[in-house]
Amino acid sequence: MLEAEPEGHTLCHRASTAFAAYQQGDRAGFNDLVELLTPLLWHTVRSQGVDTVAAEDVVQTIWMRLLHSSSSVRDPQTVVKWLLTAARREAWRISKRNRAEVLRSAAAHPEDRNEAVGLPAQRQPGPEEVLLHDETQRQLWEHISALPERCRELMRVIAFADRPDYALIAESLGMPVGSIGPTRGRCLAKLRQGLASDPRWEGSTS
Amino acid sequence: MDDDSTLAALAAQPLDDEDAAVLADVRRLYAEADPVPGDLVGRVLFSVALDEMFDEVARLTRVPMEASAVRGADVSMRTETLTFAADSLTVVVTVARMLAGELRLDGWLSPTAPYRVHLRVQGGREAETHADAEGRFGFEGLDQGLAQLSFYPVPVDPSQVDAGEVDPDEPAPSAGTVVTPVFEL
Repeated sequence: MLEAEPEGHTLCHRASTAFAAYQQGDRAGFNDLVELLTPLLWHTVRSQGVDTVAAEDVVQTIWMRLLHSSSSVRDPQTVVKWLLTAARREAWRISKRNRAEVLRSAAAHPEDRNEAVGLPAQRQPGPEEVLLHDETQRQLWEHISALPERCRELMRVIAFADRPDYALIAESLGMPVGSIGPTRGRCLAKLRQGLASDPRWEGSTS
Repeated sequence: MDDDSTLAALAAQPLDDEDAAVLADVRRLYAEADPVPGDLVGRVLFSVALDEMFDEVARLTRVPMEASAVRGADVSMRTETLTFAADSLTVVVTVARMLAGELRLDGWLSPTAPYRVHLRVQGGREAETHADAEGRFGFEGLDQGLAQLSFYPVPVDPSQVDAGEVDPDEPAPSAGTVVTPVFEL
């Protein structure tokens, strides 16, 4: 199998090395970890439908909680899983609270009811939230949007990691074993199939 | 082969370079359409640069501007209300921005208990006060920037709390300490 990165240099490996350094007293290790994994956390939280302002607060809160709990993460290899699990849980809590608030306000203002009923479908950011740069991106966006929600989340987060880490990250996102890596898995297969059947799609550029 | 068995066959193959190319496109799409805010890493690094231990991170909830907007004619002042919720403590903070550039922060914590309140502002400035008997505290004359609050429970007799003294018999200074995420002044 072709590997994009040698095993020792994947995102998850670098993350656990940085965290191990921090646990051994090197404060800079924590900062390295923050720089390495903040994109992964951002996309994990945003894929749960949390708005950008709240997503910044969630990402920050998760990092502070790790700082607080760092000694309880005994195996540095599990730090990525710890962070992704915490981020998903917190994002889910906020989405749930926001939906409850909208429903409560809909109960108080029945004239807005239709908007509240439509809310669960809005977990995927709408076109107004996503600035697409060209036609190729618009096509890709259409195909991603057609995937089941859990697949969209997986594709989005996986895209920011390295291939040998896919299985670990999928597991951290609560996906069943075999969702991706070492085999393609159904989510990516669906996306590939959709793109292949789209006559407008001219293939990936890299 | 029907669609589903085609999909199953495709799913069972090992990842190849075409997958890598598609995922690279997905990455580019999200990196451009929904980028990590430019200052997020800096905010996180400021928030974790705490010298002291803490017990709990409060959850930040922003009260929408419309709901907390200043009523009346004083348009020179804008306010923002933030709620910080921890298991042991809830704090409501209002940041008022004056046109002159000066900021003030007013807070109210509950349940009412003696707390030492520490404010850390980006750029090195720190300030400290105590919540009064009603749980109120405030800081004046602040500049814009990132800020973070820490709440330290105070033993009943305030004269025992001398920052310069460390009493080995005292409970750990981290007992019940709550810190907030970083927010903008």
